[in-house]
Amino acid sequence: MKNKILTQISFVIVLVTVAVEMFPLIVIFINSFKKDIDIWMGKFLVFKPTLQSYTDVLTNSDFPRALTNSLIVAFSTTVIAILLGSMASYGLARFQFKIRNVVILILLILRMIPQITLAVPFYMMFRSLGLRDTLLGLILAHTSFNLPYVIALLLPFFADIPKDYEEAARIDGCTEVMLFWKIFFPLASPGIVVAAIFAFLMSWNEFIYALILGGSRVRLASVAVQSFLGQYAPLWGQLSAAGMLMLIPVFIITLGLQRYIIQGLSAGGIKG
Amino acid sequence: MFLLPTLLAIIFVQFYPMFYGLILSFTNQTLLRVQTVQFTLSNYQKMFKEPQFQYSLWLQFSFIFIALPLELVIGFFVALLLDKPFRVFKVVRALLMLPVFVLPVLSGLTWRLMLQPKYGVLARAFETLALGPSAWLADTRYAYIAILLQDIWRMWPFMFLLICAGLTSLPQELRESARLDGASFFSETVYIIIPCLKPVLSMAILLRMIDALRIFSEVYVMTYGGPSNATMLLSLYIHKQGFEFGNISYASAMGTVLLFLALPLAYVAVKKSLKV
Amino acid sequence: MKRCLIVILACLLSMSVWAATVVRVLLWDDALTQALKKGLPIFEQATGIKVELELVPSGVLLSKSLMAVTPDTSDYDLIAVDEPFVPKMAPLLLPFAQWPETDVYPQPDMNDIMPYAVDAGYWRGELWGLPINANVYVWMTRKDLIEQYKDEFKEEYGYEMTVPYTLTELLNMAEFLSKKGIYGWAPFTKPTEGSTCEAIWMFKSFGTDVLEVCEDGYRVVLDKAKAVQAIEFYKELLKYAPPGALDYGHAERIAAFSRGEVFSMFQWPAIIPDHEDPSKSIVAGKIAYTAPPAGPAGTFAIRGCWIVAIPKAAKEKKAAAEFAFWWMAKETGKSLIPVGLTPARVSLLLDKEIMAVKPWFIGIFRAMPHAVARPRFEYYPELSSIIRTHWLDAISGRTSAAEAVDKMLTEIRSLLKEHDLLKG
Repeated sequence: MKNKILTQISFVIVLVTVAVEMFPLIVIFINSFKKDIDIWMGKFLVFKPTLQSYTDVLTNSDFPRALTNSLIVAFSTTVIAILLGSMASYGLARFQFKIRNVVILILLILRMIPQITLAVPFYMMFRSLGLRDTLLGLILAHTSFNLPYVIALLLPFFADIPKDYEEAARIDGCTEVMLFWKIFFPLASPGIVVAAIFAFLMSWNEFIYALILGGSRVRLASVAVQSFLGQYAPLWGQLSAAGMLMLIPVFIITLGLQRYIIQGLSAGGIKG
Repeated sequence: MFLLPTLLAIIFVQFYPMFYGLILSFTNQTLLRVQTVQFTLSNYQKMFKEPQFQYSLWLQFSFIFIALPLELVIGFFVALLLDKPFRVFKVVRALLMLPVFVLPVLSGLTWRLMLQPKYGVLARAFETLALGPSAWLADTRYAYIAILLQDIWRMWPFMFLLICAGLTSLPQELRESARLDGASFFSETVYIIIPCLKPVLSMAILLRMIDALRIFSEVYVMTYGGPSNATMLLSLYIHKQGFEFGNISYASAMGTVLLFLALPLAYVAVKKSLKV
Repeated sequence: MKRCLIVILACLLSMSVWAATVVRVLLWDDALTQALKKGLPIFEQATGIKVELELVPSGVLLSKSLMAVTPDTSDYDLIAVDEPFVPKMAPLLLPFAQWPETDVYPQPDMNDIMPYAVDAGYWRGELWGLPINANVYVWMTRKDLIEQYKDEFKEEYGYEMTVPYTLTELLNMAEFLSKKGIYGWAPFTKPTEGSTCEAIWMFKSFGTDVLEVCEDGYRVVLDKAKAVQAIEFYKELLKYAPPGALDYGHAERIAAFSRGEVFSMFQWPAIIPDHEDPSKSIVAGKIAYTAPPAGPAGTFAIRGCWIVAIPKAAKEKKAAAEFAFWWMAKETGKSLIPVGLTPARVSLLLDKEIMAVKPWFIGIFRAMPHAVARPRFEYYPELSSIIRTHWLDAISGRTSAAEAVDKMLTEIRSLLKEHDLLKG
């Protein structure tokens, strides 16, 4: 009986939380269908919906191309970051060595420095390597901050896996590589999924590198969206439409990868 | 070990910019590169005498120490609430992540729109509740609260998702046996879940912190540093000095100081997240 | 074998000779420059020069230019510079007088360009670039409100209600209209460049400058008494501004005016099309355009022209000049005006056909003779920050006007001293 009431209360709380949380997003969603004058008129729900903003965004500017660029960059950098990062994180988590913590800290330092400081050296570095205004250059730049992030994020997940799994596998004659791919990677999958989502997101929304290292040939969505900010005031309708469009890929990825987060640990680890 | 190539690659990419930044802070170079570069400690001397720097530093750390715990607590509780395998929760979880996915600039602008006196939905709501002035963003105190709210709204789902993943990795046997032993929801949480989740929680705080140190677009677009510098967090001030004034060496110096102040916290967090 | 090699070499050589020149241009990002993109094929066909046009948000244009351009190297051949930054960028730029001769598009007739617009590109006696738009404070007033209330107003105040020609008139009309539920005026109060513009406008209108340029430095000439007067008047005006006026940026001002709430205020020409667009504004067609109202010291309008300049270290200077002249050409101007170009050419501003569609061009023409620049100074960003911070503190009542001006003076002096530029 108590359980039922508790469940009902928690349902209500969940509902309220979701409603509150979604509210600003609903504002953006509605704004993307409003004419600019309506957005500022303050009549929240009374307006004539229009697809003008979406049409403008998709036809007038180079936004679709920027979206494609962003997709390519974000996807590539996520794959690289996850592959290399999980390996590195595994190594750092499972092998104890004296300066381990310091090494990890050093990895994270780059993310703690304000971007302005990094902008100039990155610009010069990329210019001399001829990577300015290229997709490859941006992928590398994004990976440079995604990798430490993924490594750090996965540390607790790899550290958490009980030693028994490892020992049992070794007894079975597992090689190091097999050990990693067949046992640890799947076991840490909730963490890996979250890391993938965030790595994708970081690259998707990233603005400074895209601006400085990009150029006329390679424009990312995060920079293209700025053209809706206008020189003076935002083109609210188009900005909201562009924002919504940018949300779609990430949302789909999250929804799709959900099952890896809630999937329980396959109990076959030790017994199998 | 097969983590070596990765490490080497990262370290290589990181070191050049890092050292460049460090060295830059000891020079007098600006973005307009016409004068000869000299080495000098003047940036650091100037910084410690400048009240704006100290004020911005204070604003930045207050921001972190207020927003992060709140984000963690909310994220934690919602993660627990949604820890049941109902199918609808899958969608709920994805929906809850949307604020984190929104472009920071758009988030800041939407909050600015919502807080518009007389016409913004939030402004009108607050007015009916007699909460705060009519123009939140024009008031030095409420503008700060507004940017805090924006950040909490946007980022608690970040903690939430990380904790969800952590909860899944928890050994189910431990929780089941505790429940069989008759433990209440409360004691199960405090004595089992929290200790087991400590690594994940520490990492969540660490990751959030390093991003909170660099927060920029959302706040800039809402207040531009706030009425009378009330929301001029150090990250914004560094940006102002670097990008607006072109004093990249000074910006670099401030960034270095910020970094060194954050390092001890980061170190503790890293340690905690590795312990099992 | 040898013959093959020779053939290959010949091909490569001829390719490099025939290879098109590529000119790299860096501009700000908005409807106008995007429209420029659409016109590129015409340019490329006429000149054979390929254009790589990069558009970045105007807020970061300065820093990206500084990163990409040094006295010895430049990643761009033509860059846009916002006029307050001309003193800062001048060391990196090629003076206009030294621009190379062009083949296809001739240098525009300088007499056809509004003289005050050309001024924007001048610094220490040299012209550093070509003004690409005539950007100046234009004053908007609601004709329909005048029609509606002019009789009542005349009764109460004793003179004809027209477009406010002096600040005192503006104050009277604002006071009058506040009783009718209309806000007489809207300020700009976000802590960005816009507030500096307001401050300088008011200071000038009350008779004081900030800096005087000397041979090798600057003198601080801000008159405290007049500055305080200006601030106090602005505060009076603020009484008749919409709620939240102390945090009014472009977005808020545009919305307020387009909603029909505000009677009279300044606006940048690039934004005015939005007010005349029926889908974005309910006051389209009801606006009169003039120069700003005069203060005790006269009529003044803040100017904010953009110039295009060629960096000293640019590779393709001739191609860059061609591009700039093409942009300034009358035909190009005519095709770009519908999408938001505010021409610097007098002939285009006063063209009858165009004026019929763009009534505010006459406002620009009226306001430009009163154009005044913000202080010209190499370290303008820091100066702007000092001025606007204390200005905003004063008008919001956080500090007293006298205190704010004192602080302004102290900080400006120490800024000048820091760079060894303080004279007198």
